[in-house]
Amino acid sequence: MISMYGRLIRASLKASMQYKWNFLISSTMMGLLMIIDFIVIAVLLWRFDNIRGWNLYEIGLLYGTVSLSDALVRFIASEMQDFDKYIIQGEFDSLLVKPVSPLILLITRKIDISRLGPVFQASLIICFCLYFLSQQGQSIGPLLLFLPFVILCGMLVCFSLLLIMCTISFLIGKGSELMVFFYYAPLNAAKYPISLYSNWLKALFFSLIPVGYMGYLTFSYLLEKGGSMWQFLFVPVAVIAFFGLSISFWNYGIRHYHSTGQ
Amino acid sequence: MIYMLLAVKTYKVNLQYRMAHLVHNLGSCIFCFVYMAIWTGILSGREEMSPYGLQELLFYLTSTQCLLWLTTFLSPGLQIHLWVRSGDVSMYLARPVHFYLYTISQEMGRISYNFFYRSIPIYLILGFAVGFHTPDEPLTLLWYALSSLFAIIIGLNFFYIVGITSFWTTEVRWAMYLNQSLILMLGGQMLPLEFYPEPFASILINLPFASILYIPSMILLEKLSYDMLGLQLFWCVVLIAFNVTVTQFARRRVEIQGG
Repeated sequence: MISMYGRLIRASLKASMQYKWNFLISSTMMGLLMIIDFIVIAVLLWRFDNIRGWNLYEIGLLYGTVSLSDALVRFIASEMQDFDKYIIQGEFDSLLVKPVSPLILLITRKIDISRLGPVFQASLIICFCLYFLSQQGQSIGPLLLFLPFVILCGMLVCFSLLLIMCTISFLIGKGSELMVFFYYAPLNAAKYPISLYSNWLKALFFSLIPVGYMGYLTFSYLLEKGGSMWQFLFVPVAVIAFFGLSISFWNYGIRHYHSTGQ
Repeated sequence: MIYMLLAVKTYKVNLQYRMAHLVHNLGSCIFCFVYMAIWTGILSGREEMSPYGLQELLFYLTSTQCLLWLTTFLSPGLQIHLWVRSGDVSMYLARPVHFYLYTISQEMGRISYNFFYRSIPIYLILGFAVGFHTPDEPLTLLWYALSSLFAIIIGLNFFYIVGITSFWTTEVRWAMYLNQSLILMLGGQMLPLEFYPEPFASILINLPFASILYIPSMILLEKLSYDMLGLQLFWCVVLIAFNVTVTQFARRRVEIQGG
């Protein structure tokens, strides 16, 4: 699968390079849209110094890692964002008749190369924040050590949420309108400390839409923002459990799938 | 009138998806709740550092969130790039109606729909959460309505510029992202423009982006006088004149794709 994926990435890059300027400008602009909220927060914190004890670089680290996880998942599994068409036009049938898992086929169908812009810009925010945190005397060794762990947990949460959205499309046909409620809005919320939100939102982000596990708990422990070791250790358990649940839900959806195409 | 008929038709098409859009609105409210939580976190215990009170900022966010659906979240490129790519644009240009008015009136139908099925439900949900703002002076509501109308015209014209660019470039995805980025950041969606450092704040207030979200919301909060309507009207005239002129050039430039 990995070699197949490598070939797909090379082919997509080659295709995108046929329209080099378009690819470069689109990627940059897509990243710009992502970075805007961070610029606005930077302006705010330039004036107010911190938000409930989190300074610009600490928030930036959280913001950058969540954005990076999201961008990587949308780069790798771009077809999952546009899954409605498979159901409405009956294209999903063609994935079911092949001797490979339909999920793997779906993921390897296409990659969104323009997501490299947000990937690059999110990485830039992370490096910028880590540098200034180290200048402020923060020990960045543990942060660097656990950074891949945070990104991976974030990617698993994003992937699981997308998978659940795809499965809902099996059941109701058009699940894309739910994406804002179940994916875009919660992910935007996960870029800031969850402690800021009202109790019902906190409950939502640690249960039904568990974006609180993407970075907040790990960083609130590592940056000493009130997080505990137990919460930190619970993160991989919660993320893997959610991933398992989403896979089970996907399999349930496939068992109850009825073709709607012509 | 033909343009009115076009708007009504687009409105009716959108009506088919109203249930899905109502669910979508909940997500839009969560976006706004996040910004409200950030402002609450920032200002708790230090409201004196801000030119606006927390409650005023929450009303401001409610207003900008509702205006987004009338000015900023419109059809990408008003769909012009799709017509250019498919070659359908030749049919639209051949019709005995003005291409600019044809495109704008279609989108006006969608904006009217958004007003009833996006902005009002979002206003009600956010209003029940943070309260409903009532201006001291009743006439303010009239100025707010007028300011919002100008904001819609300016927003529409920005989207038209993005769409008409496709006559030269075919691909406009980058222009759509740029347009949305500029409106959200320079329009003051989450951050009123006074919070930017000087001289940026003074410059930004006079740019057309401020007329889309910031000026109407501040007029509603009675923080800006109705004199600002003059600035909005100026930008409306400039953008309309620009787009009508560019449409003339685009007619000469058109290349028909497809067969």
